Amino acid sequence: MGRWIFWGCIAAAAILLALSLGAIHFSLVSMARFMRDFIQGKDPYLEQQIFLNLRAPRVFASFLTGGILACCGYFLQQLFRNPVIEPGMIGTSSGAAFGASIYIVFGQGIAWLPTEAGFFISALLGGLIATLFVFFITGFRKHPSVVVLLVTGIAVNALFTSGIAFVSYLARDPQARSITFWGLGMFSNAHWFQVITLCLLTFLMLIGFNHAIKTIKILQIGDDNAQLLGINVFRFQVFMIFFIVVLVALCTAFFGVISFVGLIIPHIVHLRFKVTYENSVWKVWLLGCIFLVLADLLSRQLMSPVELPIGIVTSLVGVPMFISALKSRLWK
Amino acid sequence: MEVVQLSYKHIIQDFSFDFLPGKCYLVMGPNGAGKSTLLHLLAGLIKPTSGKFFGLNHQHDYFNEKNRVVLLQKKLHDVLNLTVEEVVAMGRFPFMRQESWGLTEQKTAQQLSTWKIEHLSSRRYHTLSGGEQQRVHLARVWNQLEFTVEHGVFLIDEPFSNLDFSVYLDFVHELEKIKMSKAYTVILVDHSIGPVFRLMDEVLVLNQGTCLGACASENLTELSTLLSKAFELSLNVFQFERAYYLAMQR
Amino acid sequence: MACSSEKNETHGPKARWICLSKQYNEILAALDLESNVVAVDLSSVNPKSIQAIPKVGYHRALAIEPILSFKPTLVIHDNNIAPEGVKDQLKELGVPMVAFQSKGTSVSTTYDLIREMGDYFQVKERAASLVAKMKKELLEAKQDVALYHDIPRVLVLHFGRAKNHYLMVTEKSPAAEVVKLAGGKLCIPGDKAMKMVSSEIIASSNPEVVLITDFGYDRFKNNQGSVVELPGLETTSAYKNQRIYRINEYELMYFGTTLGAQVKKVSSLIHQPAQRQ
Repeated sequence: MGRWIFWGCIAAAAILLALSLGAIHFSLVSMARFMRDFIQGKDPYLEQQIFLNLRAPRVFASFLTGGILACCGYFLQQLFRNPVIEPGMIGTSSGAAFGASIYIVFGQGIAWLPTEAGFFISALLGGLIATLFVFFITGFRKHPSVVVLLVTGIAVNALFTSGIAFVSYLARDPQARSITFWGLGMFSNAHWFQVITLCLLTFLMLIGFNHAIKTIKILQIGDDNAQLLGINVFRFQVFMIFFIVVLVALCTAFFGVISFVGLIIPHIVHLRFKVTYENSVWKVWLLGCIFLVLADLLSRQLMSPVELPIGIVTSLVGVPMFISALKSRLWK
Repeated sequence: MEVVQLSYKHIIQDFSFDFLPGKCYLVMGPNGAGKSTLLHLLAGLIKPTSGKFFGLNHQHDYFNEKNRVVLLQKKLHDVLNLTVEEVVAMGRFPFMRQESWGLTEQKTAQQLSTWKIEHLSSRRYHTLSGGEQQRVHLARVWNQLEFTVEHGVFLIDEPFSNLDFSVYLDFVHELEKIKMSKAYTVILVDHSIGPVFRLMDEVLVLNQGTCLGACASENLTELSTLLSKAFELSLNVFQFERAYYLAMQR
Repeated sequence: MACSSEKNETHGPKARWICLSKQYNEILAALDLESNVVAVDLSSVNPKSIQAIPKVGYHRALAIEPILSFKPTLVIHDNNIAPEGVKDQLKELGVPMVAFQSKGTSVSTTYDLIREMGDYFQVKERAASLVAKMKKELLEAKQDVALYHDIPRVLVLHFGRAKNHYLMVTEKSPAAEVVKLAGGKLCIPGDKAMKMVSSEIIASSNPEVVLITDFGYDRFKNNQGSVVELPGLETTSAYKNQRIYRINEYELMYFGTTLGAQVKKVSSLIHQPAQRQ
């Protein structure tokens, strides 16, 4: 129990740190003042607006997205029994980015479809099509070899990434700028609407994944044996992958392609901490949240006033963490 | 369970047989005869290209009958990072909704003691020796068996390949209990005649995907003929002091 | 710190402007309004006095918080900033913004721009005298250029920092007009002002002179040798005659406030001295 409280405090500390540091620093006192004035309904002023409408949604968005991406990566690794896999590698992120870029350029004329929904739907379709494409190429084998999956993922990613480049070439200027930026992953445009959506999804995901982890545990004895125990393995895998694609496509549609989180966080959790199947979901989720919120803080601060794309920061920070965790494991 | 003209690609050709409830059948045949494939078909893991078989209901709907069809597989899967107790407890998964956690624990403990692996219960599976892993595997599958089942089917695929003799004897002992309860139709695949033979009622000989013939296990001469035909060797099954042997004749 | 919604922002001690266009910054400096500017974008380096002003980042890769940290009372931009979201966020927060109507992409529209800015910032007389001065200088430069006989083919290469690659400047760009005023000819067709480098187009247009803007030129470690990294250049007569020169962005790529000087500089580079009368 103490462990959970400890990590909960770390998470809270990370959030507060990210809320206060930035191009403009806010002290805890002023943050409290902003909120008090907001609750009391006083007239908004610029500093308060910056905190409430720019900084806070961004921090919470990166926090929640980190958890979602980490958990999705974890479950993909378990489903495929393959330690070197993450949503970015099975085409989901680039497919979603492609779908969203198509929408940016061609789709905004559809009157009856609100922009956010249309955006998300095309990203989701793009992600699903790309992922299906990867599976189609690997022949729908349940456990394709590491090499086959990696190479196929690389090929499909390359295909959709060049698709994005092509679409941005066709795009008129303002659209083209959006596409480029968001292909790199940034939280600078986070809104409260997105944060609320992420909250809902996180809630559903944690419930769903905690339930699914029991089945994942049984799958460890082999698909056949699991099937003989009454688990419809194929249906479970399809459902899980669909769920993961939806989650990742949504995050990509909101904030662009953020790779690497789903790959390294599950490994760091397993290498550094004692985990059982039952508590693994929470641990992976929490570490993913803390990681990405701090990565976003670094992306803002490292080369201020320039903001680095978050993918660069996740690699810069993630790789040493991963290597040190790996080394400590090898020592044992 | 009645099997009618079951076919699967080129491996199984027109296999038909009527398995009676509560009886024990031994299936033998040379490599490539399709013995394992037959079991996989009967377990519902693969779909036949033609033909059908009937359980209690008309069509064999695997997922509704998980409590009744149990398969002990030949290959052990390399399980990582689970304790022995967790692995054996998985056998109760089909029943977990209906039974309390206490009952699951109790049955698991029972299996651990039956198969003499209680001392290993908190060890990780991948740290065990081959023989110990085999016992865990058996314990898990046995944990899935229920004596109160009606018309159950217990399929066993060459469990004696990695022969650990002490396990073998425990196996025969436990299988006898199953036979006595008459809850399951036992279909066991083996490539030789061993101590388990005395429990078998009938023997089927498979060759190239079809049933070459079947006979009662007492009928040793008929059995020898069938085996000789299947293996294209001169084989003889004989009994000596309450044990059965398979020998090759010069 | 109030957010003023008045259209004509007056200058004075309370003014805190952020100007995100290099052309506008030059004009503001020429109109003596520079003291009101608290931050500029990375590409604004002319005149020298601008370089001392703090930067908010590259105008095609902006972030909202650094802009707001300067507590601006007005954000001046030329509709060429990215990402789009930053403009929306500034609007949502009610930060006053202004972009001027005149495009400033030709000589005449640049004069219009200066006059428009003069009106907006209430310095009409300064604007008028600036325009007059520029017209005079340009006339002198044109007379100078007329002394040359040749009309060299010029290729201009610019480095796009947002996408990190080299670009060829086309006939549709302001640079083309500067080159024309300087008595040269820019022969790369296109619908946008710049396009990606293509070795075939470079080779077939066979320029006599290549001008590379400062940032792109300085990226090569030494001068002539590694310019060959750019595709298609080694076949051109410019390369063979070693007529590849460095030029500052503010001298060629847009119309600044010293048009005459720009034209003179460019013409001195592109014409052979021998061609002079």
